[in-house]
Amino acid sequence: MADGTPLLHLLIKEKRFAGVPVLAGLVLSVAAGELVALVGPSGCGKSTVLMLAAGLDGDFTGERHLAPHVHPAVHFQEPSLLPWRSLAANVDMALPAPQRNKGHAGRWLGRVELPVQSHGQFPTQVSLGMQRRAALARTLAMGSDLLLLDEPLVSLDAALAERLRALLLQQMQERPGLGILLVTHDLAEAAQLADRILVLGNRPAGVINELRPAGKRGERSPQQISMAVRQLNTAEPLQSSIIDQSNTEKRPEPEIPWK
Amino acid sequence: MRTALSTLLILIVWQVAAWAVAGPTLPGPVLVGGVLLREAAAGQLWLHLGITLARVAAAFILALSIGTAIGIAMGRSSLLDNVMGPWLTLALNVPALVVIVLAYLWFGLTEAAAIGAVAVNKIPNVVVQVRAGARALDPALARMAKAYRFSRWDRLRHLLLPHLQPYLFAAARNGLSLVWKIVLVVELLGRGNGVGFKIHLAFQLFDVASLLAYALAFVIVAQMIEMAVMAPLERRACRWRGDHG
Repeated sequence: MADGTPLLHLLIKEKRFAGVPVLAGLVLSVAAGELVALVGPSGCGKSTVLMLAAGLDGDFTGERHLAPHVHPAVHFQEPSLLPWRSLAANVDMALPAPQRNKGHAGRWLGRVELPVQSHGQFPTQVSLGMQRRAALARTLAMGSDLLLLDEPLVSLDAALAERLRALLLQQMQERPGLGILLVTHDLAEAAQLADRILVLGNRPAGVINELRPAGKRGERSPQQISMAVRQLNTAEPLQSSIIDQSNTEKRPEPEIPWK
Repeated sequence: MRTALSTLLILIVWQVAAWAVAGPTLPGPVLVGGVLLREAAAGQLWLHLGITLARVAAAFILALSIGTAIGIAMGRSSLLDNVMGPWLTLALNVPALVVIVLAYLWFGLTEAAAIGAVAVNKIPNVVVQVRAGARALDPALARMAKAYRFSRWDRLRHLLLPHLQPYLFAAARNGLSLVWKIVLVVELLGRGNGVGFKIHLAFQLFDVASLLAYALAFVIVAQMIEMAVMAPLERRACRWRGDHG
């Protein structure tokens, strides 16, 4: 898929939980070659947005469009590994049957720095952090053009998290058609990795702010990152990229080529 | 060691009771053991025990596979559960004897009717247990299987069946004991061989020693199946739980 092609377009008019609206008037899109971060206070509905984007929850009013032949790979906040299968078998499960048991699983587990001895172990025999990394390997192994990642690096030690961020950036470099939607509560992480940052807020939640940090993804200086974090923390929406909440309904919809 | 002691205790109580009764209504363990050895030497024991075991195995496999299929379907689909729920209650409450007699009346005194009747008696219990298991599937794992687009076969083989394993073992355990009890009734009512048939003969001849000998033989076999098949299988299936690693 060419750089810039839209991969996902999601319009949430309203999403309710037990009758209570939790999301409203939210527009989100991810294009090929783009890493979009979704930030916001915990409990504001970031993970819910991800589930809707993944198509795992169809109970909302609005629209969801995926580019043809795109099957998003989802990384859940909880590892969600099959407890009765080894780490390697869990990664293999994400692959189509003919590609299983061919060493792909071992390679991907290696890339998230899981030692070879752990590949044959059951999830209950390794730490939660290792389970999370195995789940990330599973998501990446699928080879999807669209990754939907829910806090993939949470609870990992700082150095390891940094190396895995580099792995994500490397994936973006190697595969120009790849788009990533990254849900994170870590503003610095978003400011370091993302091309665009969407800030979720209010109740029911919508995108209250959108920021394109200065500099190139992955190459930003500490000053640029802390500048972006400051901008994200300011309550005032930024001039350059305000999404006006009051007339979301009237706003013309973006052009979607396959519609 | 404890098992051996408790077995010895039962034998002692039995022998003392036999001395107290002192008559043909309660032969002691020595006498019954003698009958057991005589029947074994004559080949009678192996013949009837083997036939009964074959019937138990056939009915057991039939009941477990059909019951598992229905149980999964009912546990994962509320529509099916609503439609078939009342039938299940009905099936659970039909007395075993009624099913057996009806099977013989409708399909004749045949092997198929006998095994089918036993399976039909057991299926509802399997359904209840497997349905409870299928309902308890972790929604996070179900969601994961959907996200990773598991095929039907993958879902069954890698998600549902491993999850159902403890429920299936419970169903198999009490299935085995229930099935063999019903097989004896089926044999008593309409078969010309098997342990149930021998017990029927013993009853007519008032031969309590033979009756006890055959019952004892089957209890020993059931215990051996538990120790040699069920327990190792269960240990193997539960390796992932972490307490063995």
